[in-house]
Amino acid sequence: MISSDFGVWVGAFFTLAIFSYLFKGNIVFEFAEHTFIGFSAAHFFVEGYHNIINMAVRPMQEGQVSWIIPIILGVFLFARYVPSISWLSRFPVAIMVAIVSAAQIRGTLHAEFVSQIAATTELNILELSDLIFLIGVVTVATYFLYLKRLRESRVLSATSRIGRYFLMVAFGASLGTTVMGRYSLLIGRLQFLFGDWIKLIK
Amino acid sequence: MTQFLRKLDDIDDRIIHVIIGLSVLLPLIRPIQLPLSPSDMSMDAFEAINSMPPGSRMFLITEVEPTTAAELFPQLVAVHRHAMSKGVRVIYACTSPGSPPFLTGVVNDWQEKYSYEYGKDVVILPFRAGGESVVVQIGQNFGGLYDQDYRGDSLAGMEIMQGISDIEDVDLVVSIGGAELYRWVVRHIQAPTGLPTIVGCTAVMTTFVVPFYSSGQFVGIISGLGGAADYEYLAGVPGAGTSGMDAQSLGHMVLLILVALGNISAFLLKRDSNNKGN
Repeated sequence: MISSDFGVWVGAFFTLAIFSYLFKGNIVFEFAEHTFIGFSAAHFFVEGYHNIINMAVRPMQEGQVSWIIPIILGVFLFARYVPSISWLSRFPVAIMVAIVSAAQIRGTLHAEFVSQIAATTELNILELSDLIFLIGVVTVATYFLYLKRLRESRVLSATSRIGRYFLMVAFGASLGTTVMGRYSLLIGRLQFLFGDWIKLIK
Repeated sequence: MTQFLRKLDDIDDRIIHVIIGLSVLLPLIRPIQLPLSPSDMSMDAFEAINSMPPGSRMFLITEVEPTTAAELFPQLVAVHRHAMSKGVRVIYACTSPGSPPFLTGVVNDWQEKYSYEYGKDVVILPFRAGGESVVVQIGQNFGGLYDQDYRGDSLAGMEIMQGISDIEDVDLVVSIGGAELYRWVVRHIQAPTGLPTIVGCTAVMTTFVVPFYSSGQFVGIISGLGGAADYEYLAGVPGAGTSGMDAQSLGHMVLLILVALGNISAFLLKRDSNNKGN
């Protein structure tokens, strides 16, 4: 009826400890919270250490000397703790920002801009859902026109107000799915407590 | 009744927590089998995999982690079981260091039931650090990024990897992730290659993913626990998703009632204070 697995008992203890906060803050909750933070920090430290060893140090030992470059750049990040050479830390940050920007701009333009606009032009306005979609796109776009003269015109002030309603519907839908996600997390924990620990759920 | 509604404004939060907890727990212990009607997004996702001929290859990239496992893991299991039952081969990859235990768990747990062979029908590629830059590499230099599986065994000798030097050599891409993974996939895999792509996401992310489904860039979406339940229902393999849906539905129902009561209470109190002011 109840699990004999030590790991499950530990999991159940920490789940209940976190849930205890719903009644009021207490020392058991704080213990669970600090343990979680400690374990997370330790986990990421070990993960990072192994990544450096497996992905850079080991290949370097096998003759791929170019891996010395990311290692040096990584060490440069810590230079900010030494004021006289803190400028060195700008190099790795600049390289990371440049790489991420380049990767994002290249992919975003086609996938998230051109393709989305192309799909919008293919809408069939004789269908109600497509028509609503199109009105939403246009009115929301006008909501983000910040030129004062344009915003004060009667037509654009009306469309931007409609656009605001579309945005509110979108935010409402987003909040609704957020609640659904939180319920899923609760269900997951209850399935663990009453399925894996106390075996009440078949 | 009016007095009761007025008093609701002062109700202790803990009573609401207990009501919500019970509304979720009771249907888990005693399922009431509420009817499921799968969404179009889920049906399209299911159909995309269902129509794949046996022996074809699917590339599934995930970032399932303990924080998102309640929603994403049932999706992963449902897709894995469906693919294995259809004879579709799966190449797993991940962009998060917490994912490999989930992947090995799925692959090991269902091996006996579906009699598949590691290296021939399924393979798990190792975690690579770098987030989006890893997906860029998958799109541009798949063979250069991976030459070993997660155990360190060479991919060259594995039957499932024969003829795969590029991501375009697979037949379908599936992305199961909680945050930005779907964006990385559409930017660096779907858009440049045009490969049919399915996205599994947490419910929170659904409104951000849907525009890509509407535009045809994604052929299907599996959204949250509900999407997993839809998929299990369509595949005829009840699992963690289906068993959680009664609790989802009843929990939402109770929440809606509480929201309505809270609003009525607030309205009555506002009217009272206005009357006193006059």
